[in-house]
Amino acid sequence: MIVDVNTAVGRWPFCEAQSVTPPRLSSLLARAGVDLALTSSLEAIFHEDPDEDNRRLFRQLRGHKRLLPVPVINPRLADWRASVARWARKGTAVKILPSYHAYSLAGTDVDGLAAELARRRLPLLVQIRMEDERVQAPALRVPPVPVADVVALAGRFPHLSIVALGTYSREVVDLLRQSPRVWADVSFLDGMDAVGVLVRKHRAFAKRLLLGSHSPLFYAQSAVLKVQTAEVTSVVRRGILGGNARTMLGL
Amino acid sequence: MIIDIHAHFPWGDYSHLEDVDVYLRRARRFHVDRLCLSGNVAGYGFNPTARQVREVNRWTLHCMARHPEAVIGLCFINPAVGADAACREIDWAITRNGFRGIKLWVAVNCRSRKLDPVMTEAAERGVPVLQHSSYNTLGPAAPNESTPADVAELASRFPSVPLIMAHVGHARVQGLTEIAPHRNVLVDTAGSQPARGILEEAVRRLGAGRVVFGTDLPIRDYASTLGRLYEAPFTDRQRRLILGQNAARLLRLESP
Repeated sequence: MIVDVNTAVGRWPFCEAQSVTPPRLSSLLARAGVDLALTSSLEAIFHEDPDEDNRRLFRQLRGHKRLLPVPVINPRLADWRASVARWARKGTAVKILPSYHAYSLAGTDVDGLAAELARRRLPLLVQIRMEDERVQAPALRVPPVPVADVVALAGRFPHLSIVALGTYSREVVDLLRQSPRVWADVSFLDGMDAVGVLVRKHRAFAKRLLLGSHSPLFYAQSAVLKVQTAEVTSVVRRGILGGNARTMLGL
Repeated sequence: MIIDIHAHFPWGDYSHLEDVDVYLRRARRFHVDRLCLSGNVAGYGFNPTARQVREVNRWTLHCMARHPEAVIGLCFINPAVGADAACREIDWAITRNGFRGIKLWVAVNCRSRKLDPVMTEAAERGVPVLQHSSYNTLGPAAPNESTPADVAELASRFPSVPLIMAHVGHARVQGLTEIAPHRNVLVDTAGSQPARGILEEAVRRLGAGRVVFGTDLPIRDYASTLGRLYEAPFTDRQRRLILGQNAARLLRLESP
């Protein structure tokens, strides 16, 4: 079973081609061979209160068995606990976007949420970046989340499972080497056989890399091909394609 | 036939001649038949000497000799070394050693008149020029880095030279509109992450006959670059043009 931990539906305001409905996303993922995908709302990224977007997401994804809804939580809102209570019981993980909701993981904004998710044994998905910073709209630049802050968060909450989405190879090395309960998706890994190179250099990473396509912003087939053609053992390949995610998410 | 118009060797950890075999294995894994190597253009900084340029091209020549069935050489040129030295290098590479095109990077912005002797040579020899290009939100990666607008200006001065603008992923729609009127400009499929949309825009605005498959290997991989082409809603004919037919025409190879 191929599991994609990094997908979204809705409208991406900078590019119409990167905006999709749930049926369209489901169809793109099916063509890439993805059986199950963690899916968030793109609109939730831009709204201070993502609750209405979460509501629409859960409603829209009913009947799309391939797409598992993942709520976006803004921990700076005083009522974030109510949002977690409302959506987390229906979900398999929670996603945060610190750079878009304007807070830092180095501060204490996220600590309450982290403690609550650790208590509920729900993974926290941290969107490190949505785009290559070099191609962002010039007037709307959003910096990536510093991976050192993720490492520090993981250190403060050693029982919390954290998935970093959208990390480059060097960031994956920094993250996974320092934090045993952090996973990373492959969406931004690139370079010749990037997945194979990473696993051959750091064998321990094999169980903590996850397929993440970042679709619809990226092509799903690029991510799937990246893993399917990685020069690693078939066991490692199957793990990255889905086994690792199923274990981590308790699916 | 699949032709990768844009790859660099040696590069990073791939620093021994036999490492080019790794490139070829990876290429075959994706059914890529021909690989255009343009050397380690960054190996000596932004502004290499004539001797350093020759060293870069010698590496490519060694790869051509090792894999004549697969490797095509593009001759790296730094126009800043002067017209005589640049033209001598082109003669050494193309006339004497079978390179099939010219690669220009960031030593000189491509609006500079220092390119004129190089472009004149390209016109006379009928070879394409692969020109680095980027719009970068964070600012230019090098002081003289060329943008699509610069490429468009160069194309207008040398309309008979086929110009391949590198990196559709860094072109922006703005860049595509700038090169669109210049029929001698094509764009390669390299650049940035496999972001949906810009490749489709390139085909829509330029036509599939002006898009060529290129990866920037080993900085990028076939998985991400071919994944774009497989998933984008192109016809088989458009894909064939992009993957090999356009490049075969430019490089004067037997048509796939």
